[in-house]
Amino acid sequence: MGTLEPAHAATTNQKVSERHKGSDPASWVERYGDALYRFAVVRVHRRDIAEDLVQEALLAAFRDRQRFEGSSSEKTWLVGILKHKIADHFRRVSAEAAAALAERGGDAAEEPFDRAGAWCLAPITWPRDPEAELGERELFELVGGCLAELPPGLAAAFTLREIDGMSSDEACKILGISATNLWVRLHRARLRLRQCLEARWFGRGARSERG
Amino acid sequence: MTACREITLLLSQALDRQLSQQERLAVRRHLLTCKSCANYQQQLKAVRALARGYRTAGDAHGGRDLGLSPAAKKSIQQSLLAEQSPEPARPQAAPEPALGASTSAIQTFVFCEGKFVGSELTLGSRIEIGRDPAADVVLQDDMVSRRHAAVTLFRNQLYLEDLRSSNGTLVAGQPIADRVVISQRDDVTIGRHSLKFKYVRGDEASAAALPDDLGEVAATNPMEPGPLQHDPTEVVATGDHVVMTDPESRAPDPEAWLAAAVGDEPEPIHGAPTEIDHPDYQTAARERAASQSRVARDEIGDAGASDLFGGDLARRPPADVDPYGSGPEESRQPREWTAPISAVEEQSSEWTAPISAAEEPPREWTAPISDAAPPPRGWPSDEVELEPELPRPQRFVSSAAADEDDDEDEEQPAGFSLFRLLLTEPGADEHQRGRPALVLIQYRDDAIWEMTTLRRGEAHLLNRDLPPATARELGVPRNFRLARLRLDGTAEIAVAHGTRGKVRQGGATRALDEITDWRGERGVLRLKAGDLATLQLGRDSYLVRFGYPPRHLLQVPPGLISNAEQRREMRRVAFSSTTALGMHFLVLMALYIQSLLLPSPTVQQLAEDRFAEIDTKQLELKAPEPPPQEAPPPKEEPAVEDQAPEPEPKERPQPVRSRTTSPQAKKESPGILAALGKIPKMSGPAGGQTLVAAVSNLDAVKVPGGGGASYKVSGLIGKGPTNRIQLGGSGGGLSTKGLASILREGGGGPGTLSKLKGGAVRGRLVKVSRGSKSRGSGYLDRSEIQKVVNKGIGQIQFCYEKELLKNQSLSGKVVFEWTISRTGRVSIVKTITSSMNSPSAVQCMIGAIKGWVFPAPRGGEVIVTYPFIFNAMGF
Repeated sequence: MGTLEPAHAATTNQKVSERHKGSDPASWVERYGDALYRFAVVRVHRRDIAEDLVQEALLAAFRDRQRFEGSSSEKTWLVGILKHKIADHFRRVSAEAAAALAERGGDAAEEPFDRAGAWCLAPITWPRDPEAELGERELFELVGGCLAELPPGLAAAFTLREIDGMSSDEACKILGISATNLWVRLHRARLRLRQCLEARWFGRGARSERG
Repeated sequence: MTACREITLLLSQALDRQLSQQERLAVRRHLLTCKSCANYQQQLKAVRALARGYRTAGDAHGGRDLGLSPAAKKSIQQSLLAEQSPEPARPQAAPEPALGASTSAIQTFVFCEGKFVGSELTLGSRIEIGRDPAADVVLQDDMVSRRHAAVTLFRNQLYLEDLRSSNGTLVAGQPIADRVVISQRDDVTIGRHSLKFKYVRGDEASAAALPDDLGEVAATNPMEPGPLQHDPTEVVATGDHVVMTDPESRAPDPEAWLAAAVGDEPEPIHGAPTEIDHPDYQTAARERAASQSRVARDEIGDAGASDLFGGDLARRPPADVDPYGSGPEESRQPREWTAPISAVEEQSSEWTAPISAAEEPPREWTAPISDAAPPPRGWPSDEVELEPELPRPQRFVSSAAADEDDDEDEEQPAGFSLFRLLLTEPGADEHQRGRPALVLIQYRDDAIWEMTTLRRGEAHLLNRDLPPATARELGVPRNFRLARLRLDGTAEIAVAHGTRGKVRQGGATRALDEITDWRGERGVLRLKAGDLATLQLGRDSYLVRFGYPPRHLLQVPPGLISNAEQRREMRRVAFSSTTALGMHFLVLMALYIQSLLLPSPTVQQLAEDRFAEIDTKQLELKAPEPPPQEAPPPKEEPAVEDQAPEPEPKERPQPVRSRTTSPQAKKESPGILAALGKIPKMSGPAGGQTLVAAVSNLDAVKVPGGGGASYKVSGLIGKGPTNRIQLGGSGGGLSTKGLASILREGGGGPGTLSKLKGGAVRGRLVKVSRGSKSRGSGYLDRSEIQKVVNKGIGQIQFCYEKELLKNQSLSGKVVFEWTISRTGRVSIVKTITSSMNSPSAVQCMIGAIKGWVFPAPRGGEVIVTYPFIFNAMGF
């Protein structure tokens, strides 16, 4: 590891970067900012959180930039750090969700079923296939909007399982919950998403089609 | 049989794990018979596909324009360069508890062929509409099927579903296939009826349904978990070094990427501070507040005029009154918290008044007490003939009025609102807001009959003026003290035998019988802030709920309020000006009709229909003030020139007057308008006059042949002197809403303000499009002009309201002339005539008009002459 002289921080940075075939950290935001942000936002679904995570990741990378050894590309390295930040975030919201759940003693009332367990608002046949019909942009906004409305704990579970395509075991580890708990969260997330998608896309879409 | 709830869980788990043989069997068996769950299974697949597509779409779409915002880039760049330690990240929003559907209500507004026939608030999350008497909203219309349609409230969305009706359900004129999302603005057509739906969320249904912009109030609530609670978590979580020392972080593997982070840190650290701090904080605050309130309550004791409700009630132990005992759902609502606490703070100033009142009871107080002291006559339960088969508070009976009013869909512009402005004003008077009042809405048959707002210490006597015979006929009690709002903010509702109803208490809906505390002939029901009750007695039904009145615009020094004498004086003044203004309004209304209706028999017939529902016995004009044309009040302002430039229609019988038995008014000429313009100062003491004015169901008066302008005159029954406001419909033009209408409608709408104790200022801006003319070289369609004016009318009203605060009797007519240039912009605005004594208001209006943009006229400039009438009413 190179010796760092605090008095010449700027030049030192340069040296460190050069040694590791990395670029100037000052250019990170320009070069990788958008890609990192996209990576974060499709997982946390909220602009502000995604931006914060990118910032955290870049700062962490900056502080430990001498550890970057150039064995992978700089971008891969940064994405790796960002992944940890996202995992931290997920674990945090997962714990918060568990706490909130404990506090109000379950949220059965939020389920779309009545006391007898029958549907309050029965799913109808979707007349069209949303995926086939939506452009990329619409799809992104529709799904992103619905995911953003999910309680963070549910969204985290859903994201790990369905967007990152992780196995249940992996997702459980990250969220620090049992498999049963994960399934319940996934179930609730799916119920809500279905509802939201129908309301946003089909409900409105059907209307505008007629009008 | 396994329920859908369990099956859906299994369906979901099938995506995550291998189901057991048994589970698979159960699912298969269920899916055979349950179409809904089969649909759900399909949708799960679609959701999964969408999620995968979302990730790809994010990347692809991101290539174009998804990225860090410039501001974020800058901030990250700066922090990188400064090499500072990361600032605490923004707190994540705490998981917002979704409102359970059970705490909500759906309000239905029913119009029959353009005429507003009533509204109904149904507790719960689903209502059915149909001809069947068991339906929640009964439409007696042969085009309506027995079970026609249903509206479901689910997660703050309204869903409209056609229940395979024969004639279909239309939204915005188009038939719906199965189920659609509707908004509160959508017109739903069923047969000859048109309906609008509004959901009232749990917290709002009870806590007053204030406009959305009051959200800011909640935002300032100290109870809300602030960033501080999150910070510790954040700091812990940004364990950068931990991350970096992890060897795997150097080799990010797309598959195992997240797993690397697991196990590095002791898990419980995360989120622990939030977990502990948050509830503790709330609990502590709750206890603090509760103990304060207990102290305050004990101090009050029975002194607080609680005998108004009868001694037995007053002696109830205070322990069962817990203003904070709303259910867990509410306790998380910030608004629910504000109220009790600020109420506690105010106790001392609040309850001095009634005590001094008790020592020397002022007139206004004595009357109700002495009325109420004996057990209510005419209301022993055996004498009362209830109509038990009336299943719902209301029925909507279709009327055959052949009125093709098309004004219904005309959106009222949101416009400027002084009310909104004042509420969002920083440093606005905090404590006034949080004090809940009790709102009582009385429905008779199918219409809102009366609306009352009770402040602390006030009680409501039912049907005080109703003749005993009528009361018997209606099956309603007379002089029955229905409700009282105690000084501690809880309400006592007296329940007579035979009363049916539902109560929402602490978030749960319960039957009336369950919670009524019976004491002999009468039962007592306690409501706390946040609760809601619907009661039905004979042909009357009641909605009782808590509301938060808008804060008072005119502040009265505390010393003044606590002085009973002063209070009386204030009331008297308010009273007399009320009387004057009420008259004022009545005459104006008459004129209004006169000037708008052409002398065609059809129209007259129409107008007669409108009034057919007024009960003249109830609503007569007693001791009217000298009609304006006979005794024009002293007029100081020289500014008042006139005159109505539009051609006035000839004499024709005046429906208003004929029905309200005000013969003097019959022969009025258009000149009255001028006279009216001259009486804004007529607010001197008017003695003990009572004025009972009635103009009801005047909505949707069509102007035959008029350029598309039809009017809905507010169906309004004004009654003075009291803060009771009776409303029977919603009006055209624009109304500056009084307290009651805010509470009733739950919307700010254009312009809303209230003023001194017990009163509300109501300003009315009347569009007089018939008087509008256009000339000039160009051509612009009249309806185009009208559209822009309608859009901007809120601004005009804002100008008026602003001045109305300074001068409560400001009224008059202003005729503007403006030139629309070739581009559609307004180049010159002039005042042609103005009978309104407020140059600043007129200036303000000119400024507003200058900002309007019209469609570009064809062929040159257009000059528009446009009159506005402004009128204020006090209640």
